[in-house]
Order: sequence, then C-alpha cells, then structure tokens
Amino acid sequence: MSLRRATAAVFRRELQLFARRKSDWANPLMFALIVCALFPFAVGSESERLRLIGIGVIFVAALLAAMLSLPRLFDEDARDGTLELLLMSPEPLAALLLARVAAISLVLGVALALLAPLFALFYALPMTVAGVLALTVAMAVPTLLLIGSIAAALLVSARGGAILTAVLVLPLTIPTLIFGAGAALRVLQGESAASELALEGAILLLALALCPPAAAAALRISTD
Amino acid sequence: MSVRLTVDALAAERGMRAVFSDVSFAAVGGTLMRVTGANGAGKTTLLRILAGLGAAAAGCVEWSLDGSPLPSTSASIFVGHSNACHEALTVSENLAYAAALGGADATPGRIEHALAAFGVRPLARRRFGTLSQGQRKRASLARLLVAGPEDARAWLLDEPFVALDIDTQSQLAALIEARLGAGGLVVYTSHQTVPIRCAHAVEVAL
Repeated sequence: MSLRRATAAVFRRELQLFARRKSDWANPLMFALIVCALFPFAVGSESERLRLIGIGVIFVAALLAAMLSLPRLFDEDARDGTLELLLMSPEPLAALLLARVAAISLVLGVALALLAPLFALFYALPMTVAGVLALTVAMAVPTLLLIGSIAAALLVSARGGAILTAVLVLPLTIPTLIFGAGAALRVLQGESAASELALEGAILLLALALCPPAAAAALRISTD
Repeated sequence: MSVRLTVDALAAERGMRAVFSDVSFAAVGGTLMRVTGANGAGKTTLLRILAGLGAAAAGCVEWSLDGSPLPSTSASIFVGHSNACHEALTVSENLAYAAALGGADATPGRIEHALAAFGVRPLARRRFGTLSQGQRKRASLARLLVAGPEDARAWLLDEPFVALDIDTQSQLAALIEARLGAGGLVVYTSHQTVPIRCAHAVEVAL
C-alpha cells in the first residue's frame, strides 16, 4: 500500500514537472525535429537516397533527443536535496526509480513516437514504414532511459556528467538501434518485421528487469 | 513509541581524510542531542551517517523501535542544509511528495496543520521557487510535522535555525520541546544558542 503510494507520488511529480516546465519535453522534440530536418539539406533531395537513410536518421535523432533528458533524472534532485528524500524512503529505491523512468518514458516515448510519422514524411517513407517506426521508437526510448539511468546515477552531479553519460550509454543502445531500425527497414522492403520487433521488445523487457536495481545500487554508491 | 539510537566507535572519512573517529553514544526517545564542533569537524557527516545517507568508515549505527531493529532510512527524518523542495512545485505538492516517500499519508489537513505550525499556511499554494530564504526554510521544516504525531521517526536537524527569524526560532524550539515531550528523539547541530527546555539534553562534541 505504501509502496504504491510512494511510486504513485514519484510518477505524479514527474508528470507535474513536465506540465509546469514545457521546455523539459519541448526541447528534446525540437532537437529531434531539427536533426531530422537538417539531413535532407546535406544529402540532397532525391527521394530514393532519402528513403535509404531516413529510417536510420529518424531513429538516431529520437535516441539523441531522449538522451537529452537523462541529466534531468538525478542532477537537479541532487542540487535541491530532493534526492535525499528518495534515498531515505523505506520503499525499495529500484521501484521508485522505475516509476520515475516510466513517467519520463511515457511523455517522451509517446511524443517522439507521434512525431516519427511526421519525420517519415521528410524522407518520403511510406505510411506503413512510418507506423512501424513509431512503434520501434516508442520501445527504444524506455530502453535508452533505463540503461541511461544507471550511467546518470553513477555520474550524479559529476562535472561534465552529461557528455560522459551520452558516451557511456549510446554504445549500449546499439542492439536496440539495430533491431528497431531493422524492423522499419524490413517493412520498407516489403517483408515481415515480426522477428525484429520481438527482439527489440525482448531487450526492453530485459532492461526493465535489470536496470532499476543496478541504477539504485549506482545511486547509493555515488551519493555516499 | 520508543526510539533508541546506539552509536559505537563510529569513524568517518571524506576524500580519504579522516573527519572524526571513535565516536560512541547512545540515546533513547525524549533525548535532545546537540552535536557540536568547529567548521569541518564532521557534524553534517555524522548526521548523514545517522540518517543512512552516508557510509561510516568504521563502527556501527543501530536504530531500534520498541526493541526491534530498524534500518537507518526508516528510523529518521533528515532536514539538511538543502531544502529538499523542487522550485517548480508548490509548497504543499512538495510536502505531499516528501510524506508519500516517507511512507506517510499526507492529507491536505495534515499539510495545512504542519504549515500553520511554522506560520506559513498562506504559502501552501505558492511555488517553492517564489519564496524567500526564510520562508523556504520554514516550509521545508514543515516536513517534520506532516507525518503526524504517531510517526516515531527521530528528527535529524542540520543547522535548523539558520535563516530563521527570532520568532520562528522560538517556534521551532517549542516544536522540538513538544516532540521531546511526546517521547521523540531529536539530534541537531547548531552554531546559534537557541534555548530548548529539555529533561535529557546530551552534547556530543566532535
């Protein structure tokens, strides 16, 4: 009962913060939009070439955009002292962190998934591909945030932590990138994407099970 | 409720340098414990270890409630230098969050009551970021009262009188006295000498 109350409070607070500070979700979205809009200028406007790179660009842009919200996970809390409330809670820290990552994933994952079909238009991708792309982005964002929570916890309030977090986390998202972008590519080639989607889902489930306890342990170490 | 705190041969390090060593004391509910020492003597470090936020280099800290051992994190409420409130949230949202994490049910009535005790009830709906330093301190101290009188946790207060005006200092002293009278344990550090009436006062010098 009190675990549910505590996780609900963490989840609600995160949503309240998104509602109060629009820049928290608007900045990552604008970043993804700009990255996706820049590439066609660089590679030229033939739709054949755009179609080839489009999936990869949209997927990487979505991952980078989600990456931008990682410092928000703990740095601000460490500065204003609210991290101590989290650490002193009698409830399991891993569950509280999961609630927090879930709230951020919900907002950013849904927003980026909704924008993915729009980005797909920039690259002349067919609507079926856009649909799969939205689905794979929606799965990739929570995976990235879960893995990133470990790095963010280790580097909480470290100098230059944001860049270091990106350097540590992005290589770990390669499997998700391969299967997520691969699924959309399959659909573009007119094949079934079921196996890629299943593998991407499996990676998400694995991250769900393993990352919160690891992030909790990392947070205890780094705030000691 | 009877909280008991036993500290045995405690030592702490900060950045590979010993801060204090061989600190031992015991305290039961109803005791007011003041930690004294010069700047850098490790008062905050000691409180953080008692709260379970930091690890000791040696020795042990044991909390128990009515004879059964408690983990440090559930045995105490720690109010440190930082206010533990988010600037974009209102005062009552911050207090409700803190209470929910602490395992308490913060009804709006409880929150108002706690704020009223520190004379900041009208600020309940204000964003924390718009308050003055003194108001912030008072609003964050209200966290101590939100869980209600049946909450047995010890109060760990790090410089609670800083940034408070004279009236609020005596208000806080009266609340600490009431807490001690109800069998609570209060450990605090302070450079100011604010008189607190108490039957069991212990001083730990670092």
